[in-house]
Amino acid sequence: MKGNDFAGKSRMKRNLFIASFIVPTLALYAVFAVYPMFKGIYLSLFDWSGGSESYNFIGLGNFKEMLHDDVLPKAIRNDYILVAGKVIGFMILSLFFAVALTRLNVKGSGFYRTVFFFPNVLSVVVVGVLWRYVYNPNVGFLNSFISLFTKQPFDYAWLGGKWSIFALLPPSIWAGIGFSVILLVAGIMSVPESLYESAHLDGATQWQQFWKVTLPLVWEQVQTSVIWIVVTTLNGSFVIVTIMTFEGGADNATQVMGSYLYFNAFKYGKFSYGSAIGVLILVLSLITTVALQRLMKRDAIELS
Amino acid sequence: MARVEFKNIVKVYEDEKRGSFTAVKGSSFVIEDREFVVFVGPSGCGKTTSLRMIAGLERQTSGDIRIGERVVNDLHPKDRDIAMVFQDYALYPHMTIAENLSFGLRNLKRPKDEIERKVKEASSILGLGDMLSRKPRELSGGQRQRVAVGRAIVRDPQVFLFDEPLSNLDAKLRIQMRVELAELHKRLGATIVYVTHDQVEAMTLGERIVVMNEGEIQQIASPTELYNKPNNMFVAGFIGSPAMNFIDARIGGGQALLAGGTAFPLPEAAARALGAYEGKPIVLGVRPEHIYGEAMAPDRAGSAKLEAHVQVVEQLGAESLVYFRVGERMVTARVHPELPVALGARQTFVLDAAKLHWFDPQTEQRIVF
Repeated sequence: MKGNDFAGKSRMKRNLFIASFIVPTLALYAVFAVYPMFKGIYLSLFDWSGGSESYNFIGLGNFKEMLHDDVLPKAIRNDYILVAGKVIGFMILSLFFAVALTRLNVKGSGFYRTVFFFPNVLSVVVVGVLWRYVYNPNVGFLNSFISLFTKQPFDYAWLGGKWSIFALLPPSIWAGIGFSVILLVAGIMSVPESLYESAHLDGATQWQQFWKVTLPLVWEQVQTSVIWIVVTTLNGSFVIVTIMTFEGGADNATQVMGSYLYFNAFKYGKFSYGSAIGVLILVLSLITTVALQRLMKRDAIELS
Repeated sequence: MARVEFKNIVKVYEDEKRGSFTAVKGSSFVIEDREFVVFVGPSGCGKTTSLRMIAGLERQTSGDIRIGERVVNDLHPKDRDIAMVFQDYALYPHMTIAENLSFGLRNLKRPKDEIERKVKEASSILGLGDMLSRKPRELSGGQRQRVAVGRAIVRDPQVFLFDEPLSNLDAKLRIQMRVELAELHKRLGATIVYVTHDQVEAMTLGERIVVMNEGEIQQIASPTELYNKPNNMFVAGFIGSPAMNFIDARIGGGQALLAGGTAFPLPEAAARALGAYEGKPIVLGVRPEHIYGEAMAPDRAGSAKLEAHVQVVEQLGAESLVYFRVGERMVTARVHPELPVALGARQTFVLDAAKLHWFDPQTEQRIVF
């Protein structure tokens, strides 16, 4: 009996020890992630201004309203322009830089790795302000540079036009590319050198080595990067949109779901409509990531 | 098939922080057509660097490399008509065995039916037939090794290069693969250059062996010649297991005076050749298998006797290893397992007079006579 007692005690100690690590994290996650999510879903079923006392349960009313909202389709389109542009831009550039920093014998590659990661450390607010100066029609760096090659001073309003959503792509990519680069650099560095040497002996060019050796072997890192880009874009482009184009640009040209949610909830007094947009973002994020994961699925590769 | 020639090859690595390092210090040799030559030596001796220079993975600092009739100094690896098997096999984990085997041929844009035929041939030679659609991770170490060899075979090269191909296998499999590689060499009739740090592998596989140390070729010879007539103390100590014993000695009045006080008369030829060392230090080299217990010494062994306290005895079944001290140095004798040996007792051993080697302690060269 005594032995059992002892075993029981030590098991309890062990569980207590494990719990001391799990419980705080779980509690914080519940308070700051799970509760707001369900509260948001709950609120989306009401008609509530955000400040008033009246809670009117309207069921799916907010979602029905979405169907007649002219701005929302634009916001969704803009979100996916950002997603597509960022995924393509990130992947092409970060693969190029990662390969350059590992396979192409660039001098001082450690230094460049730090440099590429640097914008990631900056707050998106800082990035936005910085790039607003780049795009400034009169004193901006971009127009000044183009003016060097034109007779008339070039004064295009990059952030004021119909397609200004595309102008948000360069700052977004610049701000976040370091993460993908670091991820891919680590992936490429874990590929044994002999695979490249063998390919070299077998007459594979640098280009063939990239397609046939590097890319398949860092595919997991590519997947992770893409999912990360999709999730952060759908949930986080709100900041760069608001900083660079205030309320979503001229005629909602740069409006995204996140910024539209914010304006509805906190400016137009339609808190529950904002919540409903939040639910939409959640659903679209889930659908997009699951679809992309399916699309990019390949056999897991073990480097041994 | 083709011969491979090195002419005054030097390889210097420049490193900004650590300065320059000479990996290969002017080596010249010829590997004949269809020959199986093994490079052996401790790590860092320049053997792998030499192999990689033949492959074209490294560019020599100076000197000429010839494969067949061509100087290949500036030829791209794929144009050198070589194939290499890597230590870690370098199989592409995301490709099937068939894709791995055909990778080189596909890069060279060979016709499909030719690729298919060659993959089939290679896989039947190596018994990989039913594994073609599998991935490398589903294969055992020995099977992966075979795929790596197969990838070289399909290229149909003039020269096969092997970089320590068996070092990742367990002992039993290594012996099996050793036999298979020897058979493969006969079957393909190919020139093979093989790098290993394992002297047993070198002795069993090589028709000739290149022994390297610190970037210099110590000796190029057949296995038996290396064993019987080593050029110097390095080769003598490196080839053979357990290693050759070295005993400090002096020559005086036709006698060898060993450290520790034993002396024995030198055979006539040796006495004449070693006359120049009269009164000077010299090193006696004797292999463990050429030391007998007095009771079991063959008659021809002669009168080179020494007495010592036995310190350790290892029974290996077919033989016993007896360790004792002569002067400063530990000496190993490989004796008949039934030789009565008493630990700590003073015992007389007989050195086989015909099998003694003498080395100059300054130059470490063997004194030839």
